[in-house]
Amino acid sequence: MPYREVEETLSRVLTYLRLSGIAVTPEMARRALRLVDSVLQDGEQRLLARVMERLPETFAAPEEALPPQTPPLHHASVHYADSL
Amino acid sequence: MSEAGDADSVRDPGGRWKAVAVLRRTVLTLLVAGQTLAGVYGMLSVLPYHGGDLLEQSIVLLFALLFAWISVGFWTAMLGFYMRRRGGDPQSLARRHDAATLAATPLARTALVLPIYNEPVDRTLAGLRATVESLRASGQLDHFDFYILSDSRDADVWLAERAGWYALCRELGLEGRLFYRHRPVNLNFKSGNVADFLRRWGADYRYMVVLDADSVMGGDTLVRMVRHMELAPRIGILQSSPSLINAHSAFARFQQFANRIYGPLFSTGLAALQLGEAAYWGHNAIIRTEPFMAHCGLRRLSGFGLFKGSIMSHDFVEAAYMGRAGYQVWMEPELHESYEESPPTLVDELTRDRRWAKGNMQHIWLLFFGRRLRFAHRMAFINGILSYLASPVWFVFLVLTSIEATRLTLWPIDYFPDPQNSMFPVWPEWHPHWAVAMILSTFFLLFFPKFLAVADVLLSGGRRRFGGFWKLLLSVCLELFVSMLLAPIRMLAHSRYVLEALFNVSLHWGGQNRTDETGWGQALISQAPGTLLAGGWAALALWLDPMFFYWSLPVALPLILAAPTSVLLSRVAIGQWLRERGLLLTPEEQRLLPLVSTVAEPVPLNPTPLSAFELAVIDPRLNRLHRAQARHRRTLEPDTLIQWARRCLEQGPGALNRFQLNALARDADSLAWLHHQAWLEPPEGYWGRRIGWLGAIERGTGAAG
Repeated sequence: MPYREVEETLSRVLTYLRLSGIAVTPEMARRALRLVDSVLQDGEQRLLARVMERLPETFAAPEEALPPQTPPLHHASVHYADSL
Repeated sequence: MSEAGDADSVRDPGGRWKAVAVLRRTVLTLLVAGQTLAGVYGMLSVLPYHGGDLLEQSIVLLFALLFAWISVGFWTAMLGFYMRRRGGDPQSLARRHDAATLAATPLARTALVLPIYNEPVDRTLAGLRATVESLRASGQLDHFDFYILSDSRDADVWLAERAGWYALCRELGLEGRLFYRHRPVNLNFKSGNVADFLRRWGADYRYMVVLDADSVMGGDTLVRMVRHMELAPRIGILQSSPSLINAHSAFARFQQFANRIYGPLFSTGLAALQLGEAAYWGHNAIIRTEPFMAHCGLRRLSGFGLFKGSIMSHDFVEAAYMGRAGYQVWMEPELHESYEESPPTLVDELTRDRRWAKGNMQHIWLLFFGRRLRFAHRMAFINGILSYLASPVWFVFLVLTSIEATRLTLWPIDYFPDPQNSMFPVWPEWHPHWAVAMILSTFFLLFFPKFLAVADVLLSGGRRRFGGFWKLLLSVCLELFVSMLLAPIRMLAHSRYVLEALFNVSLHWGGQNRTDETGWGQALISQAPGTLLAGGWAALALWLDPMFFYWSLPVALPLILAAPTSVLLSRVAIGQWLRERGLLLTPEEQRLLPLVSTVAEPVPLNPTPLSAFELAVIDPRLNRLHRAQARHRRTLEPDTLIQWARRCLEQGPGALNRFQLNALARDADSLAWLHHQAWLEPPEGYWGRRIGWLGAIERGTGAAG
């Protein structure tokens, strides 16, 4: 197993966590390492894909409440004159 | 509201402004008619046969039209100068209520709506941010909600808009107050977009303020506008007079300077003539929603060619309909802190004018077939129509005068130009001093108002705000020179647009370019017809008569120089050079108002090299946002979407066309699938490389997307 692939996989995990809004503390970094290690123990094939697939069950992304894109509808009509 | 209504009727019993308006317009008509008659008399004296044949009669007729047109501008500026020197128009809305009454007037729920169509997202949202912050500083933010109404058709643009809206909501703490609506079908252009808003949420607001993509408005001004509307329930629309800001290129700086120094004179004069029957300019205005919804729906035109289908320039028509319903439309030049931007280049201005020319020509139909419209609003239609029609009239006038000069030189003298009515010969006469007097009087009408505007600034003690007396004077001279260079170019372009409009050639509607400069190749190609035409005309004039050649130069030379003019004026470096030397300065630039400075250099909402679509696929938070707002009901076959998504995954979004990208970006399942698959991609793949870039940026700056 090339070292570079492991490094890239760990880097990908940390990037995903940061972009998801998860602060990468030492504890989080250790958990990420443990995840990569655990997947490696199951086999070396498709390491990146298998790690990324197990990511959601290891880290719960913060569910930020999204603002409403539009308010509730309050239907009304725009009227047209009989003539121009 | 009833108290407000009482206050309004006490202040303006029986609408006294109407009588004043009639008086002012009558005086204006008499002045313009008298001046035009004098001009026609002078022209008849100049012409060799004194209007004795059809050619000369046509020349006189066109001259009368053009002379009347510039006379209207001249007297409007005179009235504006008079009103400003006496401290403002006593009939204006600004004089109707004192500060204490305004301050004591409660506000009503108001929506700020921002219809956009493929606009630069950073600048557009920077303007909205500045407006929101200004409202917050006024302490009245709670009375306002904000709607970004997008008609954008490119996935990369509307995904960026939505991401920007989300970021702005979080930054400004406006969740549930700042909304984003993306219309899947952009029916009836901008007016259809606003109507779509009104049908959905218009009933929730007493007023809406319509902004343009480049609009910025001050909080205190917005609050004042709402209070004016509250105090005068018969006002349907209150239009502010926006100043130009944020100019960088030389072209935009000349427009900004001209707008800032001459604008107040003309807008004050115009407002004094229109009073409660003003026009609506489509943005930077507040509208009473209930009567607008009840009376201002725009029917499709039922004529032929240009006069069939949707109304393109909606604003004048909506003002006319508001007037027809018994509501007043006011334009108030004293509402400060209302801003917009100039097109950065001549090419951009002419692209915009192409749309506006078509929209205004369409008003010919409404002018004749619009029923029960107020006379003043019909005059507003004529004003808009003539803004563009004056160009072909000028062009034909030049053609006819050239024929006249050719005739005099090449053809034998006709002693009986009208043989049926005259038994005596007519001796052609030529009075060069009369011709010079006519030219000087025309220049006087065109340029005197500009010097009057300078006098107004000097008398107001505002010269320092324009860089001091000498720099102000030099700036005005430069502006005069550039406006003389641009006038024939605009004339020729507008003539073409009017012909295109009347023959109903399909036009492309697109967002305004606010960044790019004009290249030499583009300028040489686009200006070649005018340059060749003017070169040929000047050569003919020189061959015919040196005097005629000199007469042709003010028009021919700018057209021959059109390409370098267009290129050089588009240059930001020249604009900055002028600014560094204290030329073409405006007060807003010198005081650096926070409202203006925040939009001068908008912070990029997306600092990455990734497109908005790529970010929507990769960034987990943005992907979640876009999925939440996407459709879960598919309008396309799932297999088709899967096929496009696979291609996108393998080759990137560049492998798909606009329709396919829009379909994927609107489909929640496709976005989720692409997100999942992209993160499984190896680092050397298309998506893997972009994840790497994003990761590097994110590590470097602490934020992405």
